[in-house]
Amino acid sequence: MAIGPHEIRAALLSLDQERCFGFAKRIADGEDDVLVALEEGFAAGIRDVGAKFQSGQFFLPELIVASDIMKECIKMLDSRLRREGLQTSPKGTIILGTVEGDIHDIGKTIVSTLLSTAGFEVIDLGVDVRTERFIEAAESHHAFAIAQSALLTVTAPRMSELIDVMLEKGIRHKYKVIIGGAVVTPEFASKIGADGFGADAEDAVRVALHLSRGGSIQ
Amino acid sequence: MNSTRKGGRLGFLSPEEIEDIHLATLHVLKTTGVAVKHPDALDLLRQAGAWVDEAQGRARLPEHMVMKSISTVPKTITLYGRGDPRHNLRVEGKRVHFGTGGAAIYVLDLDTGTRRLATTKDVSDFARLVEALDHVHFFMIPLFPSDVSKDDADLARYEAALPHTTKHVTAGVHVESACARVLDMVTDLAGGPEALRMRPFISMVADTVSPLTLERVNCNTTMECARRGVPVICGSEALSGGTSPATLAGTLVVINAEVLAALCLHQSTQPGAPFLYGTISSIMDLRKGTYTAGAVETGMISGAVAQVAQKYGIPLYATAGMSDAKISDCQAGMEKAMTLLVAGLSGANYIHDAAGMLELALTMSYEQTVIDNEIIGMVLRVMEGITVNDDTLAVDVIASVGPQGQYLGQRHTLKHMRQEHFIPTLADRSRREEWMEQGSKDLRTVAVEQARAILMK
Repeated sequence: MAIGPHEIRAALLSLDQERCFGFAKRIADGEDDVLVALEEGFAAGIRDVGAKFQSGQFFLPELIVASDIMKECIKMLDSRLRREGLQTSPKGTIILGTVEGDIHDIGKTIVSTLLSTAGFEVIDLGVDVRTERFIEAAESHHAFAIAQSALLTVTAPRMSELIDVMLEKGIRHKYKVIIGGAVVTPEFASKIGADGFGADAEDAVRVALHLSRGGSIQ
Repeated sequence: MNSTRKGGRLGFLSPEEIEDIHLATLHVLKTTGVAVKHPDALDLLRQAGAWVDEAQGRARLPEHMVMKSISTVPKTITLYGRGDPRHNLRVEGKRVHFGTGGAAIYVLDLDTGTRRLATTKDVSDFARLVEALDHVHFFMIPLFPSDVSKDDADLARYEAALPHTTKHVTAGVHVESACARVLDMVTDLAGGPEALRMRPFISMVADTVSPLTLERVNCNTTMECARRGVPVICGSEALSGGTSPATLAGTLVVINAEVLAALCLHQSTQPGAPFLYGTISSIMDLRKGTYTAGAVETGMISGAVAQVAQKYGIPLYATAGMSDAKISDCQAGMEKAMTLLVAGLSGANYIHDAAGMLELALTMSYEQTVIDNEIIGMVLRVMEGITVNDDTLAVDVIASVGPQGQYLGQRHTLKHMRQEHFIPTLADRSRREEWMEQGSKDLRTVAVEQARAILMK
């Protein structure tokens, strides 16, 4: 029997990992319309989760768990998508990480989750990430933006280093640069020439959406 | 509903000190006795073994009589609501419930913020507000309305409150004849005397007058409620330094003597009838001789009385959460949080005055009721304590997250976060910028909005 996308949507909204994985496996091995399942099932479900988070009914851990379930399901569908030559259509790819010398993880992870649930493909490079790695990842994943987090005063200068290196390489125009973290201020962002500044995770998503639609510096 | 939380983590008195208070009380009751202002009450006490001095109107109560009353009074009472069974409150042991209280004559108008005389509509509106607030477990009618005559006000209060809440309702009467009128009205509402006796959805207050006096109106209420099986609350309002000794220990003796005397009258009227030991005791501010509601000692007295009542196994009505502040300011928050926390931790069973009261118990505030709901929520969280077992120790989860990880995406977090962390609905935890975007509102402003939203429904 065909899987109704509303069933997937409901399973994701109730954070039912087992049921979601079951659906993903059946779709991966079967005949169901995979794009319908992705768009009307998983993506719709994660939008529902996002709405509950916005209204305060869901807490951050619920958003993260839902996002983890969804990511895992999409991975399970990957082989079938490739086999059929299909592509999902994210809003764009963002490279994300905490700068070199800084091992603060949690804020960056929250941003990663929120960006994913907002429809971006997020490549999370983790913490203590060298400037070169941000650039390599952006090039290889055809990203549209690089997002950096710094929580320490001493590591914030790494953010201007990224922009300097991009200018040197002549690739500054290819990527939007978004920065955030406890020590980062809007003044600092404009001083170093970043394209966007996220005061917190939700603000970071707002900025990313703005930039992905061709918006300019805030 | 959090109404089954248990207190008792906090104790001011050692078992020996509780015994000392008990013995001092028996001595006072036997030698000094109490003034009894109702002839029928005096007769009943005499028949039960009291030594009565007619000329003085004084009853001296021997130890065996007091101990007999303690032995016949029920150790568990259910105060019923009318609807959701979670609103039925088992009042016993160290179970804690919080509610409104008082007989304030003013309210702070929700629209103008100014003080005005209370009306019967305010009684209804506060009932509706309390109905919507999770941490306020019962509705003690907190207002004395100005738009009805004094003779009719007692009945009018009940009539204004009962249609607007399904939570248990408590109130005393101020006119002797009103007691039977109220009890007749609720008997009809219950569907007869037996139905009311089986599921009492109201209880009545009949306080003593300090020092050591059982007033006529309240003797009448005590006897009338005993006969009809409606729970009665006899509370002492001893004011340390004014109507009881300046020492808190001496005040505890006066409270205990008054309430046990009222208990003797009650159990002499009808052995086994439901009774709550009560304290509304506070201190007098001896700088000017004024009553204080928000004194920190009020919480201490409630906490210590809880230990005494627990020794006897008599359900306790205590007081906490009052303030002498005129508006919902820091003083209000400070005084309320202190006494509510102490009384809750002590395991007092039926804590009144816990929400909405300001200004020496003269004024009720809608927004303060909403704020106090949140304070009580925090107190209930503290009372819940820290659960330690294999699941909560979370060694497996700690191992799976490892160093440098985070716990946000763990199922364990999802499972426990709503119970382990109290989530405020008023307290602001946002960044300054967000707070400014939302209008830079202080707590009182947010509480006014929340109260309005509830009353608009």
